[in-house]
Amino acid sequence: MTPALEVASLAVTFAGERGPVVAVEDVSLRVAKGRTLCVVGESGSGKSVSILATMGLLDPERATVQAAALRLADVDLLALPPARRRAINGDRLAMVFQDPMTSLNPYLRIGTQLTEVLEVHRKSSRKDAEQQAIAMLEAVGISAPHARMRAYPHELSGGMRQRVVLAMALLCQPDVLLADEPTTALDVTIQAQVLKLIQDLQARTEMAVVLVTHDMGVVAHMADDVAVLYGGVVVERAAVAELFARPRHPYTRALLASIPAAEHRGQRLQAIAGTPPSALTRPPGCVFAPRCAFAAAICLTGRPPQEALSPDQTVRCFRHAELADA
Amino acid sequence: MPETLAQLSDVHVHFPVLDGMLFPREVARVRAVDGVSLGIRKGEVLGLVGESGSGKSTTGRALLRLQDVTAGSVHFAGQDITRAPRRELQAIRRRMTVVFQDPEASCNPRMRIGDAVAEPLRVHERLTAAALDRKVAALLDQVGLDESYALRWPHELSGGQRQRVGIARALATDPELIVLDEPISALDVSIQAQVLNLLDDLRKQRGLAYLFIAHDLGAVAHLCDRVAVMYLGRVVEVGPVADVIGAPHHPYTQALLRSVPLHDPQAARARGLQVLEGEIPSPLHPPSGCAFHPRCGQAIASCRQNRPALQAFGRRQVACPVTCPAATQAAQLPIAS
Repeated sequence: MTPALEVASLAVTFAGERGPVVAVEDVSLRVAKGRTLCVVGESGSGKSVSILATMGLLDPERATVQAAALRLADVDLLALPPARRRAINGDRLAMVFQDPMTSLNPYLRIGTQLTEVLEVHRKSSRKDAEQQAIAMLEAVGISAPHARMRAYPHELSGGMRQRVVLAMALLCQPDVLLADEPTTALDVTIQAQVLKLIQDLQARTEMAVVLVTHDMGVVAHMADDVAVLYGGVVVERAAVAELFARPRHPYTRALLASIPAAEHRGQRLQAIAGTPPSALTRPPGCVFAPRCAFAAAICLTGRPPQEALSPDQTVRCFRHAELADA
Repeated sequence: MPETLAQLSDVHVHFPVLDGMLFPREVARVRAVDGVSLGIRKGEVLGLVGESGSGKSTTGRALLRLQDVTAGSVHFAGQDITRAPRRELQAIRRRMTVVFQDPEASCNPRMRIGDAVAEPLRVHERLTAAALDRKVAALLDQVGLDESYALRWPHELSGGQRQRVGIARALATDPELIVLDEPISALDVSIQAQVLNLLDDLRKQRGLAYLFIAHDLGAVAHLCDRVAVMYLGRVVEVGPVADVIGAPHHPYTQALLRSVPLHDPQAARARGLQVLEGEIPSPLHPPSGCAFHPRCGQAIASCRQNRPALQAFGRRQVACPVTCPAATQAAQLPIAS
């Protein structure tokens, strides 16, 4: 089956003052219709840049985007002229950011911002657009949607704003929703509401979801598949149950082991020493080697290749086979 | 039982909402903290959890006297500091320090790391330059940074390293209590565990007490001895962390814990996402009776009228006569007999 979205061997380089900066080295993502791919990564892992590159939102003057493939179902996004690509964004490919105010204009009423989407992409009449916008606000759980249409963003709470942004992203019934840390700024209770909403809408519309998060709990609830990013590469990709039960990359293992929980009370947390590399400080060998408890001489020499363990699972570690037996 | 180090007694922090151009008058009142009583014992870690708008940070600021209280009292080491003047507070602030969420807030961008750590020592202690350098190096060493960091600038450090500097600063005057206001929330996941371990080590080495303000319940479960749960300016449940997190009694604590994602895909799928409907109400217009009643699945008619007080219930205190009826009976017993 053709995936709803396929990103193959994506690389993004920015022009820096002291030469090119490689933000994303080799990222491949694939998500099928009705499925959810969670992208896990810390600051500097390249997760947000990968998403922006997929949307075609990076400034071509500053960023060079290369990919073996960038496909939305059967549409080759790389071959599209910029105007056609923009027409797809917000229509078949929608995006939600961490901070809802990134996507909302503080000077415009919610209603104006919602109807604009339909007027631009669907050439809907104002009246039709308004009806659809109100229905969508209701679908994302906003009470008194008629009244909210006339509200300005500052009149809403953070959780409400994120719902409005979701409503806006979903108005055109996109095939793929890209969500970059959509609940990180929210309280856990509101996070549960927003995640449930995404699940419910997905069940109804069969859209594919790419959810960027650093919270392994969110991954456990939402993901079908997981891609773990570190230092600009996907270090491991697996189905969610497999990833939690048998993490193959030392970074994934360390990440799962470092989560504080009541069960480990009184014990020391298994922290990962050191800090994640930025695009400027990536080591020459395996990107994780300087922090890896299992690093050997070979890990410092060159990037480990991506190995496929099964059609659903890849890992990028020189020592994964011997570590799996240990 | 170790003696109480810090005590908040029925603390209220209200912010007036003013209107009128020339003669502004109070038209409403935000009750950010609305009658909180909490004690922190020597060497104890008390967690303070709640959603945004619950008043947990304001409670921490009231304890530090960074925020004047409207009513109630604040005691530190047996001394009433509710209205203590600046001079008196200065002595207290050696013994009770703070680490903020945003590590950048603890570092002046134009001050080298060494100077930032030395600043509280310059204010509070008279040391020779050599002694000061030695002390700064020792403090940096305690938080896992080597002394070469003293000459670096804040922008050269990662978020986790800056938070270590913030902790070193808070340790400089050898305090007995540190208020930690969301100290790990802004850090990368792999760094959060490092800082939690550091906080745990320091506490064991120095017998420190912490007020650990956080919304990450996993971190609270890991680090704290006791935990207090706040909702709309009031404490709804407080007790030993294993009891409260293991078997929450207040319906809000129950809902809050159910909202936390599970870290096991099978369990997560089996349970699904548990949603607490609605949002925390505005403290400008708090609901009548129990503030949680409009969102509570277990509310009964009286919850709409009577505001429940915290009642002792085993080793904890809970402000819910529905889930902890024994507490009510116990409280009513003297009247009934």
